[in-house]
Amino acid sequence: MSEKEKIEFKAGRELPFSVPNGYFDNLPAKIQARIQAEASASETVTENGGWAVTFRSQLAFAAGFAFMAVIAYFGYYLSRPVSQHNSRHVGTDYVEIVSRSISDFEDIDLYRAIENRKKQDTINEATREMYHRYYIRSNNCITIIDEKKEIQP
Amino acid sequence: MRKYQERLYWHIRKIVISHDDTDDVIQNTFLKVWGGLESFREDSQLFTWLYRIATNEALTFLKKKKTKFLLPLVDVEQQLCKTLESDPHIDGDELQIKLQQAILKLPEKQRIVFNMKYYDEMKYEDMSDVLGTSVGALKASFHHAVKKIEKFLEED
Repeated sequence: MSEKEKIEFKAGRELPFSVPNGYFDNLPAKIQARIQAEASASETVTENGGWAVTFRSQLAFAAGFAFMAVIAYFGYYLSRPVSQHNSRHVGTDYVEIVSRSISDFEDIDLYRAIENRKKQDTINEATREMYHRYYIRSNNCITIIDEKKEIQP
Repeated sequence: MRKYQERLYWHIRKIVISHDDTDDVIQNTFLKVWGGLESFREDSQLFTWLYRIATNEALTFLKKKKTKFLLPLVDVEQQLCKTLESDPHIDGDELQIKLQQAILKLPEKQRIVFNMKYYDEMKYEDMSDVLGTSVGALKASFHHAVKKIEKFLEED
């Protein structure tokens, strides 16, 4: 006995579905129109952006790689240790311990600390000066002229 | 196209239920067929190949619907049941509608196997080609589907 003969529900094998009148007559034309639309659309893509479509995955990969490289560079730039030479330009908060305990604090210590600080600033200012050295060659000698230039902080 | 369109239409319709959705899926199916004719192997039966594309397109359509509306699987089945009540192109008797409701309660794979065997009267060997499942597994699926449908109809 086959499977078909064994199984038969009371509902039979008729489906309770219908289609609009003339649907199957019009279906091939609809499909034909879709196929033509798809074909012309793909031709347009090939004409206008063929290489972009062909290399789309490679372009996406390159763009992603470039983005990651930029992020990595900025991450490195922001987290790198600040060198001793540039420390004055970074604007780090400055703390100087004048006295270890309040009981032995003397006004004179504070005064000295301020004076030392001023001296240090003066030295630092001095390093901002630059000399341009000129060499003037004459018959038997060379004259050296140093011109001082100020660098604005 | 004319030779196969009706059989493919009814196969898809049994999966997606609504006429409008079936219309979309069958057009997509023929577009895929048109695009893949070069890859069609002569050794595989044309109709089996068409059936496979149509089945995949119908299942993809349901998956997209589920993703689009963020619906769990159960809700998709409920939606299909509602379509049975509201679609203007449903005109069967009460028993036929009841049988469709019972079929919609089945898991997706069992539903397709049952439809192909019961309504389309396909051979298990052909179904195996279409679905890529062994004949034994298909027979088991059909058997389970029939039992579940019988139970549903008895309970109701």
